[in-house]
Amino acid sequence: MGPGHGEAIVAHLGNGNWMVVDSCLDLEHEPSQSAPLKYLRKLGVQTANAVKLILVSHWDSDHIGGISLVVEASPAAKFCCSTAFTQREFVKFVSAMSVGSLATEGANVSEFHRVLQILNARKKVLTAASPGRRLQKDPIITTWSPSDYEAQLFLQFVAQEHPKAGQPMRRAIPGSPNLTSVVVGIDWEDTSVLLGADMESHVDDRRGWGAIVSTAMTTGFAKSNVVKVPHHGSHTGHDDRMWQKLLSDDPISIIAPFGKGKVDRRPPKPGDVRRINELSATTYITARRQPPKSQAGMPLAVRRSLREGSIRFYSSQSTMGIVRLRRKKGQQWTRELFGAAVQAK
Amino acid sequence: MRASSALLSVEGYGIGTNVPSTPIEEPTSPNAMPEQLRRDFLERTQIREIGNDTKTHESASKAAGTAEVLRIEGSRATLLAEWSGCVLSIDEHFFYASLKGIYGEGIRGESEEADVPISDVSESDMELLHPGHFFRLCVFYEISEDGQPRRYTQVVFRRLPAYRKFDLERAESIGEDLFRGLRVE
Repeated sequence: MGPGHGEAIVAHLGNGNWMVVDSCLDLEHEPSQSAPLKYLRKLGVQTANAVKLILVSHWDSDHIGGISLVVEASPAAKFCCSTAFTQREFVKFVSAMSVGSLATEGANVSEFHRVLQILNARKKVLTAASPGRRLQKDPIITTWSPSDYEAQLFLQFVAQEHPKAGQPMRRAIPGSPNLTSVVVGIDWEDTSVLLGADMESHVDDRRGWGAIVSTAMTTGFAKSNVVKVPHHGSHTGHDDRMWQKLLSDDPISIIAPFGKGKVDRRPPKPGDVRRINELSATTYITARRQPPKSQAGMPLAVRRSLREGSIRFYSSQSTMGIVRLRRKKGQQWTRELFGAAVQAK
Repeated sequence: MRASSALLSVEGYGIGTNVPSTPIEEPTSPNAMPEQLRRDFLERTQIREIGNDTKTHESASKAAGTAEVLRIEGSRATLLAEWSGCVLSIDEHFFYASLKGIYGEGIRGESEEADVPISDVSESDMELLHPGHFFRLCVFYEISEDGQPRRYTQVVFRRLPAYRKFDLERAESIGEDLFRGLRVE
């Protein structure tokens, strides 16, 4: 699901057990509510007992909005995140950016800090995602990243960003953390799904999809026939090795677009969708390209001043869309689209 | 105090000043705040109220096409709109920022994203142009001495209090406790 900015996934693991991957906010209707939580409640799922696994792929604000609410509402769930996030350096960094008078804005930091506090208070175990780590057996859920090398690089970044006395207060801005994303595979008896998070390609085979494919080839894996396309379908998330080695021919592809930033740079661009269509049997996008947010309420004098000052606003409307895929054992996937979701192929 | 009845003046607004070491919260409209909160805001931002000059207020608001304006004492400028911004990334000619509207009709409370020309950043503020740093974007309106109306935008980086060693050490300690309490597998 995705509101044009942000994405989350809920997966029914069977027997009334659920998994939540990331969280986003329904900014149009209930900005204070976690979209996956709202979805599950609408289905009548008792999250307190039914959510068994919560996974945070990385800490970008479009993946973590409202995740503390999910954790709070799901006391029975195991919590899993990048191994880098379980390290002392990161926990101290999050504290430094979140505590008391040091608390500058930065939803990603405060959300994560809140999550750690909840887990701490509950004495819950924090599961560190790493390549080839099996989280459960039925269905088999495997994390494929981040590598130790990537985690080390991330912690170096955290060390550089750690606030120092005398520096002006600032917000924590995640610096290209996509390569630390947790890619997850879910393998049922007769089908598999690959959740590509925001993972990207990299020239260094120890990083990005190169490292993941290498691990998967070594440890063994089941080719997936459904993929949550990595990194919003962008070209930086594309890696031929992922499509050729980890996916079956003509998979079902789902893209969660990125609705922020300059309009012509927001993934997926038309060329990205064409590329993914060529590789897929069917492609769905959780939210069609959103129209610009109306500035009609803003005084004309202000709008003109911004325009004359070459200050460009990029805000878009944010309409939630959901792609729902369901199947029974031995049968084909059926799909339903809600809200702003569209079929691209 | 009703939102439409107050005029405020801004003195030495943000430029080259260090505001007191208080939690960094994004203020809503000063006019809409409870009295105590409003006084704190005025003190923190060095905005000084100059009274209910209804005539000036009406004149400025009519010319600018908005009912909500703040007059700047010591100048002819009237504040039409204000956002609190945070730098997210920096390109060659623009920086990309998230904005939260804090003053103006149709602006207050709205979240936006924008590209702002780097050329709008004053030389003295250039050292603050880094991802994660905060600034204010304002739109002013004024009528010059010869009667010519003029609108302009201004980007002013906020010189927030520096991290203090004491606070950081306390945060480190809390972080350490948090880490020790976590059970990682």
